[in-house]
Amino acid sequence: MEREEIRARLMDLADGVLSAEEARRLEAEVRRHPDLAHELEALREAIRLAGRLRETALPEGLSASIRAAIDATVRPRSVRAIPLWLAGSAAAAVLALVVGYLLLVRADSPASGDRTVLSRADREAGDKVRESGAIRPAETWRAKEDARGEPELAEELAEKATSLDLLKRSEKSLAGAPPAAPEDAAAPRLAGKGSARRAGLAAPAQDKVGAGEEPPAPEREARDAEDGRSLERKAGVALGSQRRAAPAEGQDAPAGAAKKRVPETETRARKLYRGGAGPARPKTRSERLEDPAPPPPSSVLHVALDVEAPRLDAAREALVRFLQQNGVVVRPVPAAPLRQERADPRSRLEEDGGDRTGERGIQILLTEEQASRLEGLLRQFGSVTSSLAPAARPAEHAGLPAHPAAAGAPRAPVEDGKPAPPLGGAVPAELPPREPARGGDAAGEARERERQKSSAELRREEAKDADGGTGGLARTPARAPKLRTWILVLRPR
Amino acid sequence: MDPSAASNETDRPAGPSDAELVASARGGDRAAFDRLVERHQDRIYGLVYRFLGDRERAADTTQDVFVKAYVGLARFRGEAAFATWIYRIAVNEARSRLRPKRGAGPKLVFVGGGGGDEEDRAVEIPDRTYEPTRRIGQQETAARIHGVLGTLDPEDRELIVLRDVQGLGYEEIARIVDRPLGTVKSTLHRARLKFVERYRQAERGAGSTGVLRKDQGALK
Repeated sequence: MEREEIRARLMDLADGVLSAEEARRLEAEVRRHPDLAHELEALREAIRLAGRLRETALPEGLSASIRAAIDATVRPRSVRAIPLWLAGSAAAAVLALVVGYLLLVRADSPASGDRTVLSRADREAGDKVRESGAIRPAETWRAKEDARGEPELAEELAEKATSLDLLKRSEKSLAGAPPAAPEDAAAPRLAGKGSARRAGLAAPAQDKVGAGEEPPAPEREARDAEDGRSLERKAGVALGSQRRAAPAEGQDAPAGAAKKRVPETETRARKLYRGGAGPARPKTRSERLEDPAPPPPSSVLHVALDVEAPRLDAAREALVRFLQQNGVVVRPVPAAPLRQERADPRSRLEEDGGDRTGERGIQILLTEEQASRLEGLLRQFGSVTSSLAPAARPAEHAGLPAHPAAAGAPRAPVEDGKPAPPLGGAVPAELPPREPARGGDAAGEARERERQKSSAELRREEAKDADGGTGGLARTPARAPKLRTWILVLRPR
Repeated sequence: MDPSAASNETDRPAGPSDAELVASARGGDRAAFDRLVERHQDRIYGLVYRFLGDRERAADTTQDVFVKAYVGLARFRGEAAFATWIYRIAVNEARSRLRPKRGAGPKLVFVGGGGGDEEDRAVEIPDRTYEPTRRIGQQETAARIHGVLGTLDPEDRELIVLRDVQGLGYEEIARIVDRPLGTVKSTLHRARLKFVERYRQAERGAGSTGVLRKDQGALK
């Protein structure tokens, strides 16, 4: 047997795994190699030495500590008995309850930065009333950026929109119906079948409004107006436009940028706010097609009470008392109202009510009867002025400038005891005749007659209800009580 | 004595087998796992203690080994014996504890001189918990052997412990340390020779000084 072969089997010999016969034969071979004999001896000694280490005293309490460690690591047995899905459902339910509670708490306690003219003491008093349930926690709307999230305003506008053709009303009632631009006359021929009917509506939309402003009337809006669709969407968008700040005069965004970033109604609002700035440049056909229609009339009324500074607190107290006693819904003024004079710190201060808190007044929802009484109450403390909320207000109409500061004119006051000026404006005697649809059939003509008939009815209705339910301080409700929206500001003199 | 036979004997304890207890434990029977702990804790502790050289650390490690086994019981497929599986956990756990952790031990910082920041000049002091001089008076020989074992490389040490202290078979050891059988045998051969040589050195040193010096634990 070779030396290396013997050496390879030394481990087996040392471990004692060989049979007795094999072990004797291998040991005989090993004796012929003294170095291998020493190595075998060393291996056996190592095994013997290591074998003396087998006895190891176990530390006391090792089992208990292992059990305790396992208990601490894994879920308790009682918890393990609960199915995971059940535990998860319970956890989710608890989480939902906590979140709901937190939301309720937040809704019930207005933040200190709420936009209101009320002083801290007044707010605290208001909180108490709100907790009693007299005033609904309108702050729940505060976080909603989209005006369409304000259900009541949208609902109110939508309600009007369902009975009136918004586009016709806003266009016809403002400045009549000048002849259409030559490009518009050509539009039906260019657009083909169906577009002629739309062009009949689109043409007056190009008309100059008031002092030369020319609100756009794209085909899409005209079509929507005709079909009586998208009215609620318009109402919501119009509200949204109130929230967006108008650019400073002459700062119209580039057409491309406006198309990309600025919503349609904002572009429209910017154009409307250029009232009094002189005749607008003629628009290209593409611009007119891209520009949206003017917004529906606003029902939000800016009401300002100019009160002597010493009587300011008394006026606030009386206002709070009135709101509390009548359970008037109070909500913060929508963020970023469309006001150009924002850039002027003096006007901002004025609008802030002079308290330098940055507050923009309160928005309240009133019935007409409440509005009448509140107006009377406010007049006890000073002069009351009102104006339409700027977002949806036409450039000039019925003696009211589009925006007092924007037009460089003083605010149009509502004289004490006199009714608010009619907000509907002059209604044109006749709608411009529509071109019959190219190649129209009898059904198309019938539709056209029906449309003209309904337009005449609408005009008659507007004439009967001159202010159109779009605002006014003292107004007898023609139909069921409707909520008026005021943005009320106290201005110390 | 055949270590493999000894190992097999311990694998056949009275009462339910390991496999039956594992099945019960996987079904949520905590008592079954407690019986497995009772059955294997002394061997696991012995392995870890000989591997780490410190009783306290060995107890902690043993505890962690069984916790890991309990947590990972669902992943135990039963292809190997439970003893092999838990030995493997123990070896890996002991190896991880032997690995020096950067910044974990005390540091000796040279103050002044040289460049670099203080962290660069810091020298980590090696762990000396494997102290053979502790029990010289009580069980001198066993303590000396234990001390010499601590001077070996961890790979050599774990093979000697598994084979000559724990008495496991080569194939089982190969599965535990995850190395080929031939490699295990050849490595163990060299480790045994090294172990005996160092023991003889330690004996000679102890004869001249009376005690095995602590510093000898660092000799390789």
